[in-house]
Amino acid sequence: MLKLIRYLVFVLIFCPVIHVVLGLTVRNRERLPKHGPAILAANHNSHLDTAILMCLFPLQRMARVRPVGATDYWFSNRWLAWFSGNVMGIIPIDRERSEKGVDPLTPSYEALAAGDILIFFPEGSRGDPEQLSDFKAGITLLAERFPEAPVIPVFMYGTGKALAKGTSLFVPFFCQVTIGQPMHWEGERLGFMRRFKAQMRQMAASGNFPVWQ
Amino acid sequence: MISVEKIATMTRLDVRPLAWSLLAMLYLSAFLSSTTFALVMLSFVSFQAFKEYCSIMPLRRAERTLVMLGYLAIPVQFYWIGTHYYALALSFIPFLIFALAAWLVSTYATTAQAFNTILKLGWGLFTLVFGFSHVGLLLVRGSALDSLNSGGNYLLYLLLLVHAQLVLQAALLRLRVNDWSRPVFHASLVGLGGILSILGVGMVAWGVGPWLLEVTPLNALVSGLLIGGCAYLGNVTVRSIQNALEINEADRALTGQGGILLLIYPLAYAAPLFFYYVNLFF
Repeated sequence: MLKLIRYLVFVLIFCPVIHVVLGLTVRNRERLPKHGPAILAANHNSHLDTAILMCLFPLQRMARVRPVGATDYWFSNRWLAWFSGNVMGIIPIDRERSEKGVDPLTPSYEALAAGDILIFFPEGSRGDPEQLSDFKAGITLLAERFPEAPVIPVFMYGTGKALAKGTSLFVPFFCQVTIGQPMHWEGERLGFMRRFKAQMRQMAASGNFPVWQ
Repeated sequence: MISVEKIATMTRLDVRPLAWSLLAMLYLSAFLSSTTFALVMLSFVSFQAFKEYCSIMPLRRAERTLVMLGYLAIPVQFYWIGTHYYALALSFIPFLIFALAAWLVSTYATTAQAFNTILKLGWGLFTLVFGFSHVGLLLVRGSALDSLNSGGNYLLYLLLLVHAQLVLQAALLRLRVNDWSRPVFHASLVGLGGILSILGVGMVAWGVGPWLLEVTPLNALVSGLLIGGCAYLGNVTVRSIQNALEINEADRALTGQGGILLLIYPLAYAAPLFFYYVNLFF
């Protein structure tokens, strides 16, 4: 039943809104993983980011695509928690580390161990629209723990214009998604972060992406 | 002014699948369905074109609400057409831009900033919503003007000639080139290409017009020259905008590249003049 609800939500709401109302241009789509475990690491501008990245996958594979979202936001009330957990398949991450001694990434490890494709936002939160923020090191922990899982950097532009943080008015604008080269763990955290940041900056500079003032 | 090289390198007919699909949808909706459905399709195309325009324009966060207002004006404009409120259809968008201008000038911190916003959004609304909506007016009014010709025939005639202009211009630009993948052009050829393509459209109209609309060959020729000329100006305008914003249609990764503007601008330029020509002389 939940699978059917999820399917209907994506077929009837998310995919039409994203592909028809919003409009999407995807560059290097062939670099998307065919199966898990894998990690999509994207910049975060808007709530639309998660739905857009999920809509890049065929419907039959969507159940194995699991976004990682903040517990304090996506699971803040009963209804939202039900929608986030059952329809979107969001894996909670405790940003505030409310329980001492518990690794907030444990649910993400479990999903990767089960062969899921993780959608991860290393910036931690939606920053200023269409501007790259600092990347947190959580992505290196995932990569280190699952060296067989490729980390695929994804650069998105336009979602911050359509539905930015702090606004509830959705205004359609074309969005661009650029899929980067898959990265693999090479045994060193700083080096991994350096390569990841370099690739994100390179993708941001590769197109005509004006600053949204 | 747009450079000749830019026009030449951006003239590629094979990178616009979305635009061609929309054109095919327009043809089909005009003939296989009701006028109402065709108008809904036209408003959808207008929405897609305005969205592409707003995506490539260097807009500011403060202008998001105005963009939304522009989107909301599209169904209203086509509603006036569908319900035969021609006076409102012809005055709604100009009045909206006028009211918007007065409001922005009085509320913005600087007049220059207000005019900048009006120019950007007003131009988009005026061409891609008001100008383009004349295609719908033609569809509805065409049926009323002449019982022998349906509105769909007028629409087909207009689309055919605008399409012919685009194809002829692209073909003429490549005429003297040995290496088609890396064309080199001369300024005189672009001007000559424009004139020849307009004349070519006139000839197409002369041949097709009497058969499709049952008009005299002379009337068809004149309307063809008008449509060809307007479509050429529309084409140059959209390429000037893209050139100013450093957008190359061959690179689909760039902001707002659905390729719809390239098709809709010539249509939005040609439709109003053809509509008034039909009203006066057909």
